[in-house]
Amino acid sequence: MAFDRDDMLDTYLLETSQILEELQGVVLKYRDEKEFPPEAIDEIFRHMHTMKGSAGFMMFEQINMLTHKMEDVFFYIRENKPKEVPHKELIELVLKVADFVQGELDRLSAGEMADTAAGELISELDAFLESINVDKKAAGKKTKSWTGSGAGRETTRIYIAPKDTIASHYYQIYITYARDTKLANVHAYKVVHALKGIAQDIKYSPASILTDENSSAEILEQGFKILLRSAVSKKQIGKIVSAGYETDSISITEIDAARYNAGFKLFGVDADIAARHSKDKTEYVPGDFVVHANEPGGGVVLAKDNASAKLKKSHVNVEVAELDRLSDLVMKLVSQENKLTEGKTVDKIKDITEDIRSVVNDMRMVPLTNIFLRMNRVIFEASRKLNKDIECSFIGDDVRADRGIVEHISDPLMHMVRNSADHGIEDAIVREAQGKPVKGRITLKAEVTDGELRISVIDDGAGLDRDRILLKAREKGLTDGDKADADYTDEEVWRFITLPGFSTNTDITEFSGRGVGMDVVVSSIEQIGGTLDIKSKKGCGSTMTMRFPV
Amino acid sequence: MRILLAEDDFVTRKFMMSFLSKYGDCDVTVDGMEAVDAFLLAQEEGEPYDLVCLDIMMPVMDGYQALIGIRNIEKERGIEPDKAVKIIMATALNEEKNVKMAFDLGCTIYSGKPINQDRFEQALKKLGLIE
Repeated sequence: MAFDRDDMLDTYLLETSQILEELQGVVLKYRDEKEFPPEAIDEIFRHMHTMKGSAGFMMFEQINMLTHKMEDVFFYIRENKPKEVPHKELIELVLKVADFVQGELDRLSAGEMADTAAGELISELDAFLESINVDKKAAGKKTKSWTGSGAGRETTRIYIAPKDTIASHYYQIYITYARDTKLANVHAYKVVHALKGIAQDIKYSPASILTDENSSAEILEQGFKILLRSAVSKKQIGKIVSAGYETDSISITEIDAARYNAGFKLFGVDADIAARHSKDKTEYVPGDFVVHANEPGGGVVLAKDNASAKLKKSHVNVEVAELDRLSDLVMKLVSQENKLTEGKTVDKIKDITEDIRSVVNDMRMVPLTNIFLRMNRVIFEASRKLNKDIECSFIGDDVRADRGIVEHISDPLMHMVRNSADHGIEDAIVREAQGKPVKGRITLKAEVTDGELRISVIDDGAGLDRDRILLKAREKGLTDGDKADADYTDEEVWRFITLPGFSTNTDITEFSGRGVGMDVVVSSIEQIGGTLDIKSKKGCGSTMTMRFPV
Repeated sequence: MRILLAEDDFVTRKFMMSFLSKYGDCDVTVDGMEAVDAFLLAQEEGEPYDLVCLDIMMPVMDGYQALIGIRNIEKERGIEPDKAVKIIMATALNEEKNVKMAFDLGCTIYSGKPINQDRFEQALKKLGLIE
């Protein structure tokens, strides 16, 4: 568990493990020889030197002193080439040092401190050094010993791990209130206040609960989200949060540091999807961390966050190679235009223009990832509010689509996803009775096939009720009076739900069923050049697929 | 020992001030630019700081920019690397990228937050800033 918490520690553990492996290799290779050849001496010296430096950097003083002493020993052997070096003893000592360091690495991995005393082992090394020093001393010769730490003065660099690295837990807390709760923002604030006592750090959304009365509405609609860093256990948090604050439902999940730092963007998202998106993939530059805004609730806005927000609106990430291609094509176009009197030239120009169009199109493509992530949150919030256990998965979230399409499918997708959650996925009891897994599943799928971009919302819920839909359609006079129920194909029946004013739901929930739904969805899709396909099977589920030509 | 602190958060600032005051006189700034200005001022008045403690997330200029600013001032005044001021970045940011950039730009110590006070003191001793 300590692994996720501290990048620097991870790196140290990895690099040092590798060195220990190599050290073992060298030792085993020359174990049965009379002595180490010069290359081996040099190699072991360098390994000890490196470990000394990195241990010093991380402030693991015992490891630092031990490897320093071993470095001394090997330096001595390398420079003075004593005649009699007890090889077996030396091998033993190198292995002992390696074992010690490995032991400390194990402790660090387990979240403990690397503070095992190396004093005894260091004394052994001292004694060894003395013993091989003897013959030179006897002859009265001066010996070269290690004084400096490198060819040039190495600058001291130190990394101090944050104090609570080991004890910190990260939690995601999601609270919903009954729809008629008054002053939900005050209730939310009371929870935050109670948590502050045990919080090392706390962020919440909506953030302006004390100053903005409208935050109540947002809390009732979308729930209250908290990200908490604390040393206490989940159980204790549960006690604090549920102590009579009139909440409707509370969910507490332990998450890792990366997700915590990613903020509310990944709130409620499944762990493995979050893992792919939480590490900021871009390189940082000085200036990225200038604080632009700082609201209560942890709404610190840094320069780099603003930059990426702006990026989405007015910039596109374009590969330099593509820009080069574009320049090339334009130059070719210009040179062809100059020859416009010749016949073949017109065809060549058409080819070039076609290529330019294709490059520009590529530059307009963005991955669907962010939209899918947003939908994931919608599903999470919906599942909480509706008290259903719903899982979301993605297929092809890295598929790229034209920006124009991506910007406009968000609303229709959200509506379809909510429909699936609200009307599609049945309550746990019903599902169990039908032998379905209690956890409902909504899958978002994107693919490019047969010259089309297809984005689907697939649920394993109850499916559309053909009879109910036909009944409602007849009631509203939407059907052809002469046509019998059985004569309608499934597709034709599903079509009815996309007509304005249609809704078979008797109780209109917060989410959907107000009857302004599917017709708006379809017209939004058609406005951007797409179509909507509906497939459904009673008892099994429904699939809504948006299709766009590419 | 003369110490310069740059920290934009009030609570953290109070804590850092009382913590650092154990080791010397501590001057306080609240953003990156103020910190660089203060550093330059001290140089010009002939009473340079021995230790600079920088937060990373600050308004106006962040810790990295302040670090660059300070090192540039030293370069301009021909200050030798072994006489250069010791700079500590103290921050909750903990990714390797952040640490690497800090050292590349010339910081001496990188300390995560919450600060491990014992280690901090050990480090100051290692650097010869305190006994």
